[in-house]
Amino acid sequence: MRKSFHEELGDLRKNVLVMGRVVEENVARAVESLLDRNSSLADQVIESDKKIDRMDMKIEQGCMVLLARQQPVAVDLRMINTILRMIIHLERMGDLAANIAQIAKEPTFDHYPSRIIDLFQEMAGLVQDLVGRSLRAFADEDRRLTLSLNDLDKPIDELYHQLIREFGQLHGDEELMNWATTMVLASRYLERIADHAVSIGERVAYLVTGNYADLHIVD
Amino acid sequence: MSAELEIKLCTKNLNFYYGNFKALENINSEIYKNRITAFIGPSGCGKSTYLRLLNRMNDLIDGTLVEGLVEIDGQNIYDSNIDVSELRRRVGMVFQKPNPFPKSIYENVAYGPRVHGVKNKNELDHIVEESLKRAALWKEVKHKLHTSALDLSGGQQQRLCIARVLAVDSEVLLMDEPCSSLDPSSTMKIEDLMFELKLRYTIVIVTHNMQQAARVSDYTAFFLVEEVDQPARLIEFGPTDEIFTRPRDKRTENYITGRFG
Ligand SMILES: Nc1ncnc2c1ncn2[C@@H]1O[C@H](COP(=O)(O)OP(=O)(O)OP(=O)(O)O)[C@@H](O)[C@H]1O
Ligand SMILES: [Mg+2]
Repeated sequence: MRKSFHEELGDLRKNVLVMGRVVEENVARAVESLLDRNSSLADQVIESDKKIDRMDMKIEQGCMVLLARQQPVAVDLRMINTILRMIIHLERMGDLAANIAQIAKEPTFDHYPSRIIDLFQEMAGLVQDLVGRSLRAFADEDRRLTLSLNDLDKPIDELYHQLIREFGQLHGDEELMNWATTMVLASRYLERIADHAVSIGERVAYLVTGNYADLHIVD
Repeated sequence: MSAELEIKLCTKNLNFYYGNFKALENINSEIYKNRITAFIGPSGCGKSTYLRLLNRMNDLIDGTLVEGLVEIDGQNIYDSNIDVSELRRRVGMVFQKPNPFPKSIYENVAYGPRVHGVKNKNELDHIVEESLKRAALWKEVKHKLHTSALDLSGGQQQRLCIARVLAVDSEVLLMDEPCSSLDPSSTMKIEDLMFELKLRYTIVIVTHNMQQAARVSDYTAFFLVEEVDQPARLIEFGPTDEIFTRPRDKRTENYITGRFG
């Protein structure tokens, strides 16, 4: 029944792409909701994360059934393995986006240092770009693209550490310090999202080459 | 495939005896229309016996006795007013070893329709072509319809046997280990064919190959004889997705994971 099997596997792959698109969108909307302190947008992200969780479960079940029924081998086996690993990352990225949205719902603080917001915004832009590329690498099974992801993660890490340093130097009233704490968290979530995107890239590289060495671009 | 399940065949409180030997006990099962149902279980657990009950092939064995009901579209096939040859037309059988008649490919397929009264040459030609097409054999044999069926490969002969069943407008295809004498690529052809055929027909397959049951079927029935000389029972029946990812019965789990005995 290889014909229908390949169709089913193709459907699973498409579902991962759809899930990826929702995650990508949620990351963007979470950042936007945080920067604008838009709590209704934040609520949408939190609500939409439940959809991501459902997709995660559905895709995993689909993989289980295909594994049990079709005994996939070679590239088919690697595809299912990749999907199973990818959805873990995507689900976590969705959670992290929801965490950022949760912060967006906390009380606003108007006198924040704009330098921090600038850094945060810059970092968010890079993270979104990285996430988009990791998903495109999967969609196109583009190994070259996966190789660039790790390099793109470096400036994100640097910005993150720079932000932490900036926060460390803040002095002020409780309101400012509370705000800073939530922003440290939000930056940390963004940085984690980028790491997951890099991991997705590694998985895609392994999918394409079948070479386990591709799983450890990052140490 | 429609989401709605229609029962094509079912058995209720079914017992079956070969003479004094009770081979099957209390089998309650449903076979759904336009679905593929696989029977699995260790050798001697009554899969073939049960399959043969579904079109009364066991009638041909002396001293057999059926208790309980076997229904097709709600009608008991063991009723006295049932026309058995009509029943076997509706519920056709494909065997483990391909068994074409020692005649031409054409004659093998045309035989059934002729017996059932089709005389017109054009009509027969049409039925032969259509049946061979549905059995995914037409392209390979259309240029040699009048050569001997015995010259075909095993896999082709098996598809010819399927075409023969389709030629008489069957509704149900019973297949007893149809691939066990075939090589992997012929097997895959038959499996692909089953997938096409289930759009029109109801298929029941007995297979020793657990992977095949997992691959092809929508529903799986697991039969087991728990102690020597005891009758076989239906241990578990359910969607193949579930049977092969989370069977409800420990005995099913032990069997399909190879932890048996
Ligand atoms: N014609 C027969 N006369 C008497 N007993 C029979 C006959 N055919 C089968 N049996 C017995 O009925 C029981 C079920 O046999 P059956 O052939 O249905 O099993 P099976 O599950 O199809 O086995 P296998 O996987 O080996 O084909 C066995 O104990 C067998 O010995
Ligand atoms: Mg048998």
